[in-house]
Amino acid sequence: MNRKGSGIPSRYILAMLSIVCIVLLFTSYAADFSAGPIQFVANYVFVPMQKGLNFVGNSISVNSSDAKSRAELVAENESLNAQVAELTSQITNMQLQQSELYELQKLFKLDQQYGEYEKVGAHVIAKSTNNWFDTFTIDKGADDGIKIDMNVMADSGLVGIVTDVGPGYAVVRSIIDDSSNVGGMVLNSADNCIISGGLQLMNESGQMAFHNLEDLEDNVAVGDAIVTSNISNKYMPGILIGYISSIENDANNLTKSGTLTPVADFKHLQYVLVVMETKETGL
Amino acid sequence: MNEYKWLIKRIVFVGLVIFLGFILQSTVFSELKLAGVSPNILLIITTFFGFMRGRKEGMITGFFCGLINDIFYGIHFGAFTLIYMLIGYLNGFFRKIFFGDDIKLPMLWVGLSDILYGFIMYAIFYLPRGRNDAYYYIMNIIFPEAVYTILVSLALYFIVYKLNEWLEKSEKRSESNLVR
Repeated sequence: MNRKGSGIPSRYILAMLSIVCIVLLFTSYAADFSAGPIQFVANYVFVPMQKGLNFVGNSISVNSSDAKSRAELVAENESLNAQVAELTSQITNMQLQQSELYELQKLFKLDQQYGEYEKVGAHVIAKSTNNWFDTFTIDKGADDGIKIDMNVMADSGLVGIVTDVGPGYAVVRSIIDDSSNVGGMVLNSADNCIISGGLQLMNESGQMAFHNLEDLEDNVAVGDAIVTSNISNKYMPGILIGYISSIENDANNLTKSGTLTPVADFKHLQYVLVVMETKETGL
Repeated sequence: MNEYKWLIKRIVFVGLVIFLGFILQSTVFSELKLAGVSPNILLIITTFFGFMRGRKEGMITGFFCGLINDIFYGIHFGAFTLIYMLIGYLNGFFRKIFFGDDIKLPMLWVGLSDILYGFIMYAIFYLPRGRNDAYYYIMNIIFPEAVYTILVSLALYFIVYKLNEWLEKSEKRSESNLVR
């Protein structure tokens, strides 16, 4: 280091770089600024390698999850068969109701259906490099028409929202991320609530928390579906999030809170669908 | 021109190590989770260059490791850069008591750095949002991550150490050429 030591002492460099970082922090906080031109470097240097290598990672994780015992599989098969029978009867019921609904909607000229958004598929190519936040990178970006705040789905459920876009990649923050909040709605009763991701709850039981549910008539029960709310400001309405697994009254006796199990499998995300619309709130 | 040759060599070397480290961490190691956590390769690299090369290089390595994190998975742009840079700088102080063939101290520094990193992350990103259960986060994220990171750094240590030694040797050679 002596050769370099003739230059500026290291503590001055530290002070200088720290100031640069703090200025960056403030500007990014105040002006919602993101990486900008550096993204182009990232796009052409890192993303192509990640695409290739993630295949290796995925195949390893798939192999380890393959190892289920035969007894487990048989038991699972039985319970699934029972579920299929039950669901088939439910579907026929639903189809009847669906056709009725369709007729009524035509009558009311309300034929805009939920969940019929234009979607584009993308591969998950890399995941967050820290254990605190749940974000991941997909292999479609601005060149494919992806914009910030577009919703991302998988397994017919909501997965996350695009927070950062480069030319050939996009970063998605999943709804189970600790800092994520989604405006939700109970499908049956149209009561609104807020769904927050939480690292602790997700690690312990694979669930998410919901709160601020106003349900004065006690219509909501365990097993009800929760979808994104029509008054959410970033999420498109009517995307399935999960099913309620527990519910209890809050101390104020006006609102309820509880947990729900998300439908998307966040542990094995490989392929996601990006909804090619962003919500227009007119605000 | 010859004076700068070693510098260019070193920049290319450190750049390559950071590049590979990030690629591995975001793809392969993020799938190879043990107890719900993945190891922090970029932190290992920052720590290594800190105690192998001193404060200045540790700091610069940390700066770029943090910058990559910020570009891809940053919450507030600049936060990771600051944390990694400080960790690189602090490890630079250990250079005086660093002897290559002893592996115990480097592992200790890697572990301590990772625990420090975990505490800073908790303090600035989790605590302000009312996540008060510090014990849970220490036992389920900070400590497991430190243990896993130490295990991975055991494997990485000799590779980086040997490459660094080889590079330092070639730097010395070019220096003696210069004197002649």
